[in-house]
Amino acid sequence: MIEKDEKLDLLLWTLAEGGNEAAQDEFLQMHPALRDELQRRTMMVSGLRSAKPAPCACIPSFRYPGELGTVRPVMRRLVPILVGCGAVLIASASWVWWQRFSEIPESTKPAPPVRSATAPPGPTTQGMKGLMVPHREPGTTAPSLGVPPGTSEPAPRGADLLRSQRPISIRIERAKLASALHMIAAKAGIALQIGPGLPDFEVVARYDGMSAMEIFADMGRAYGFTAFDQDGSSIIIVPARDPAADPPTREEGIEPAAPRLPGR
Amino acid sequence: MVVTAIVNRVQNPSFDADTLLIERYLTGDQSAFEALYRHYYDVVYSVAKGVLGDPDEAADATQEVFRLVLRNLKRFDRRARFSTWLYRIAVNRSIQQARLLARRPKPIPLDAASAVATDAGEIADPRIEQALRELSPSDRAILVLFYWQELSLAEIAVAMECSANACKTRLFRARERFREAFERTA
Repeated sequence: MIEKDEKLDLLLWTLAEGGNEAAQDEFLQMHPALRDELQRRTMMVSGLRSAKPAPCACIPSFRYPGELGTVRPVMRRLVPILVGCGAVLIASASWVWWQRFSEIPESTKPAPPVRSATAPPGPTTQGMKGLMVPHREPGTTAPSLGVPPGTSEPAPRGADLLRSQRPISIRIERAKLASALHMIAAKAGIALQIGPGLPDFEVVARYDGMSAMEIFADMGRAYGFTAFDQDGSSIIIVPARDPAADPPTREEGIEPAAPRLPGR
Repeated sequence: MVVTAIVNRVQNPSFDADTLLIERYLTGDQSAFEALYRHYYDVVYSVAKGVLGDPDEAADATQEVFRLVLRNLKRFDRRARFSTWLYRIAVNRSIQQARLLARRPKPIPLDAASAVATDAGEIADPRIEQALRELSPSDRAILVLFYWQELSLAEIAVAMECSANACKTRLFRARERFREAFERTA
């Protein structure tokens, strides 16, 4: 085993790499024991140099980055930024759209359901006290009453409303009261039961953006009946006014006045 | 820029001829880069082959080296020779690739008694191949630069981004490890 001597080791490598036979002979005269080691290192250096690849007979053509479909570094940074901006834009547009179309416009906002026990005061002989100026159809005297201001409460959103509370728009041209009530119920998609004794008036009405219960409450004040909401999809009409709710609009014992029709 | 390069060449005998090609490329002459590519392909390939061992991997690494050169040619500061800069890229990229390959499942090793055909059809000593395979990528790199490219220690130091003394020590240790590996295979 050769004692590790850095200088001697370096000399061995230099002689093996140099290939100078005279220098090798001179070295071996001084260090005959290192003959085998020198031969081994000469063989190693020779083998190592021989292992070098020969020049290519046919150099392949250079493949430019675009040919490989690789993405340039600038694009590698730009694409994620663009994707992020696009996602933000889509999210913003979706939010704006949802905000816009999920809100019910003021003009069609339904009034809160009017219960018979808490019904606002109906029209009196002194006039429409507490009510808005009625929306009248031209040529008719039957009022189409809107919801009085100040009594409306913020209505729940469409998805949460019961059928009796969902706003509808309906126009009734000279129909019997019972038929008109059925038409309103059909429009609202609710079941309707009318108690006996309902006055047989001919009515003309137009309601926009009001729920069936609000319409029934309004008509009830005018024509003397009370609507009871059963479960949001079924209403009972009782041809009587709740004495605790409103002051009577007609004198006792007098036939309910039929709405005045044009020409009468 | 091209005129300045020509004047410098006349005045300075050690003027790097590659700088002229670089200047031509930077002014839009695509063929200048092709000339650089063909001139140094074998050099880069031999470095990659020595570090990676596999001819196909070496060919891919060579293409990648020249793509890196193309991308960074504008930043080449010309204080060093182009060949030295190229060696640095080739060594770094090859070592990086060798480390990635080391994590993959290794192929079945060659039979030590069989010979390995080189690209030119010559038979290489399988013991040399086996001994090189046992070394680390950086050891293979320094041996390749010293014995195949016949660079001086100063040039190897620049290519491997270390001092001349550190390069000398690295070469000493790489040769020692190679000798031990070679004697084991023998």
